[in-house]
Amino acid sequence: MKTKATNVLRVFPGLLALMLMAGQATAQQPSPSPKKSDETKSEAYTEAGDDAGDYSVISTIELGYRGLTVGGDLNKYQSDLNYRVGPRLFDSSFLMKSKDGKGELFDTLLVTSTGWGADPQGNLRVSVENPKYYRFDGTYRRFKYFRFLNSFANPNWVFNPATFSVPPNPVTGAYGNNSIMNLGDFDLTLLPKDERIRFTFGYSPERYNGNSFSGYHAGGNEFLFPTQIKSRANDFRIGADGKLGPIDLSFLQGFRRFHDSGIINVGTTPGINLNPTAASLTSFNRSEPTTGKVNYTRFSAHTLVAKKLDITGRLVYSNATSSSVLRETFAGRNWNPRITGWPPTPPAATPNILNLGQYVITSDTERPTWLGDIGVTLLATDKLRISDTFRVEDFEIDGLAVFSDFFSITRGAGATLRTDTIGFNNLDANRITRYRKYQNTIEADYQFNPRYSIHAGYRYGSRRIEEIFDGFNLGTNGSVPPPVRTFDSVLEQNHTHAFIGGFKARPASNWTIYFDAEHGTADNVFTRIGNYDYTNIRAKSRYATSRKLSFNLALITKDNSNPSEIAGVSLQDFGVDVKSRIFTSSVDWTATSDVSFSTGYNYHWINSTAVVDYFFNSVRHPVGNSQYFTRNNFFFIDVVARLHPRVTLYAAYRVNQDSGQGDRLADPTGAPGTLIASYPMSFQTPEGRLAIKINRRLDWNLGYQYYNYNENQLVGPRPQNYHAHLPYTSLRLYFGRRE
Amino acid sequence: MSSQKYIKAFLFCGLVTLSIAWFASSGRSQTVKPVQAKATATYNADDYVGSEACKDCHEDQFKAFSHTSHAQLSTISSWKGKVTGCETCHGPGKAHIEEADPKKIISFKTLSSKAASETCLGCHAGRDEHNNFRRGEHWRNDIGCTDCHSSHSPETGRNLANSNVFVGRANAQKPGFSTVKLLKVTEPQLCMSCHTETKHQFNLPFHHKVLEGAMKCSDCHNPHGGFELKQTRLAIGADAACIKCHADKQGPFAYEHAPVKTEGCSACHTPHGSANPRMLITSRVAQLCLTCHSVAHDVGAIEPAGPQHNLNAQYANCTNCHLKIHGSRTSPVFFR
Repeated sequence: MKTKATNVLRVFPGLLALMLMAGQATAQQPSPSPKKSDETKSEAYTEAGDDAGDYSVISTIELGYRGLTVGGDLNKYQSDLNYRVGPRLFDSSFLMKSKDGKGELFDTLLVTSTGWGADPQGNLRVSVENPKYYRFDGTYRRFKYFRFLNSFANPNWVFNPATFSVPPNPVTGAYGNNSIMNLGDFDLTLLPKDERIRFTFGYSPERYNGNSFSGYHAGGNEFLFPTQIKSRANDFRIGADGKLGPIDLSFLQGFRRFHDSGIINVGTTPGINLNPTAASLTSFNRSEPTTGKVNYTRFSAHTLVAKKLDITGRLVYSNATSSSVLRETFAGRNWNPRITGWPPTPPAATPNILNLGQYVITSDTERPTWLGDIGVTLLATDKLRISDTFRVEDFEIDGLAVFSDFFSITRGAGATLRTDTIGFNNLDANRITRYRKYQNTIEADYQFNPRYSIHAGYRYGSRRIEEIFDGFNLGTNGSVPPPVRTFDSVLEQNHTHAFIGGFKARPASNWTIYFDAEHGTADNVFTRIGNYDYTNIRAKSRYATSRKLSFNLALITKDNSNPSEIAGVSLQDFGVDVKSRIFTSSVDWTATSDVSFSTGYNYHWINSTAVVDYFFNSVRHPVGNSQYFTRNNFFFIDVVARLHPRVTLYAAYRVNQDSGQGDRLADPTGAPGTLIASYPMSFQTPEGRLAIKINRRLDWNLGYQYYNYNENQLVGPRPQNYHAHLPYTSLRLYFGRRE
Repeated sequence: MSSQKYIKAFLFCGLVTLSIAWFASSGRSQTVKPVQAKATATYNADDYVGSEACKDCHEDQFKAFSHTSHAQLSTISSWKGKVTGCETCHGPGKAHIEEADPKKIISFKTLSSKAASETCLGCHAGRDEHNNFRRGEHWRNDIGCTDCHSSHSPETGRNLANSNVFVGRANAQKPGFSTVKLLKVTEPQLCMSCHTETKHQFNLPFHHKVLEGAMKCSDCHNPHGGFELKQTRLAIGADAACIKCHADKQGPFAYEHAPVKTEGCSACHTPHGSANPRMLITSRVAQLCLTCHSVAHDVGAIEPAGPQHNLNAQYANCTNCHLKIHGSRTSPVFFR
């Protein structure tokens, strides 16, 4: 979709309002506190802060207004960025500290915030502490999600717009989402610095609301429904930390309660396939109220025996349950209920009139989880440490769904109409998943001297998964007569061995090298994309010629291939092989006291191949080849320059460019066929900002940001390209600023 | 050359580099005689002189330190009678003052990262957050407390022009969380100074909003170590860190997509950022799904059956129909 929204002119009223606000604020500033004449100021340390009685205040608040012009695919722009026109609170903070560290109510109060207003995400963090009595940490975040991506879930639009019977829908795509999530974390600690005991109380609310499109594959067609999302969760925590003799103890009990109540309620709704012989709906109503709770307990203990043996243990128990009732009622035409053995023929199943279709499915699930960890570190000498970490994880998911269905369908039978009904009740399906994992890691590290150290270790893991089904295997729709109860059980186990090692070296005081590697193997697979025969290597170098100039280099490689054999059966033709390489480099240079640069280059390379079994044009390709490629180049440069004692400039340029699969082309109809995927695109984001110091309390900022996104036709025949101009202006107010 | 040979060659080169570096710097190493923090060292009470005595020479550090919560410990009853102030970490100062000898005091500049960390752990090891530091990734790679924290240095510098969408560093004029956590630099800049590759990931079209300040690295990772891989935090109970915000994936579901719990979210997603929608590890959903759902055998990942799973039309994206792919309460095939 090509959309253009120009709102640059709206910047100026905002600027005017801000200027008025700033003038008002400046007029209300308290006068600077007098400096103590007898205080000796060193050059290195300058105390900042305005005088506020027993406290000093340092604060900076930036408010601004942003304009916006978007050309190209507005949906993609909003899915990626979603910056809007309007006022915005920039990165701001407020710090209030007691002067002598003996504040009555608090010693430190810090509030930081960014992103409110015309940004899709905002956060507010508060930390207030009186070390003697309490500490409170609060975080409140809001995320606005916007997701309408034609390349992702509107395949008719991208892949087959000319021939498929359904015209592409450029407005909605499919499975679009326009929602808001609010998250909070509020934690109070009493006696936070007390060595013997501390009490903790926490509360985390979550609220998720909005609109989305939800798909439904039923009746022989696909439907796209507008859905209202609404979920709420509240998490309460209470705990204590303390010291009992030589043992540090920590206990936490949590209670989480959640409730989902999204609904779908629509009238006449055609299916994705508009063919009049395909199913369509005249009404559809679905509700699935769900409630759940998680009660969890965490207990941990730690001690240091004879200053030689560090022992830490942790035990977590969590019991999660959820209950839901799905009620689905609908009516329509040409509905294929897909209930095996029904409707009886003749007459033909379609055309028909679906008088009523109804599902009622109750669901109750419980998931108890145990997690136990113990870590022991022996400080054998000043230079040698040996540690062992053991973990056991155990959970069971016990899910029960009970199905009840009813259908009434009217069809023509010669010159008359015939109505058939069917229904079944209380057919249960019980699925149980049992999982247990043991893992032990033994490691040692040796410090030759402050400049050189090495470490090495071995990790063993054993996992066991058992899946059990007991009940009526109804698929989605069931059958007539109802199937007999079935029982099925599958048990899988695997064992992994991994070796780890590395070193840190500082050949010179200004040059540090880090290196570590891990190689692991397994004897079985649960998923073919897991780590089963892998080698990961990470090497990093940091070289600083001085405090003003430093170089970073890093190389990270990951190789994973699996499986070649399962239970003695060779599977060489079904391998999955993933290789990843990341090279990164950067330079930070403070050229003068007025000019600094930061620049870097990153190359990310991925080759992934898998033998897959797929259908294309109704032809099966049992040993097809699936490939995925990434060839991403990322470059950035940031420059900060003080152009004048009152003017500083920030300029940046960032670009991601992925050439993806290059000139490789998929051949899905070949024998064997080849599927190739990648995401060739470029994403450029230059920006600039000029900060002009009006006075000690006020800076005026002018800025501009540009986004330019382009994707290759390989992603789809209608690239979702866009470019966006975002000019802005803002005022930053200071309290307690010192130069 | 096979990948195994590359890996061996790389390992060999690493070893050679270490050896060369070792010998090249052996002369320098020998000239450095750092003061090691002796865990077993004992001192007399007379050896301690109090923080005020340090102020005369180290005024800047004293002033900065006096505003930290470390400096308030002496006012807390459970710490009374114990050493507090500068000498808690630097050891007794009497000999250092009397002889004006910089070697007669513990200087963290000359300690190894681990030795410096042992000093901090003397008090902080008992906190749940820090219990695993001696076994964590940072410890293993010789990154110590003082590589990230500065126990008495304030943030300095001016508030210069910065990006309009990414949060900038805190400084003396613009305090941030680093101020109260005594970090040298604000997150995420601090973490990215070593984990440089993440900057690229957080600049891709789809990413978690870390650079924008809506999240911090430490929201998901515990930099002080932990029992989880990648030092991720637990969310609710024993759930993975992602569930903290993506609570709709928490379940429990009557029909769970087993890998969500057994393999973790990163089996299908790249958490820092991606050009692929939903931050998936491949750009085309079907190819991701088929990677597992092709060779069923006994692992439960059944193969797509029949031509209705045709890849060339509306079925190209598996989650068009199997939209509740993380788990469903009513559909064994994740339709609703």
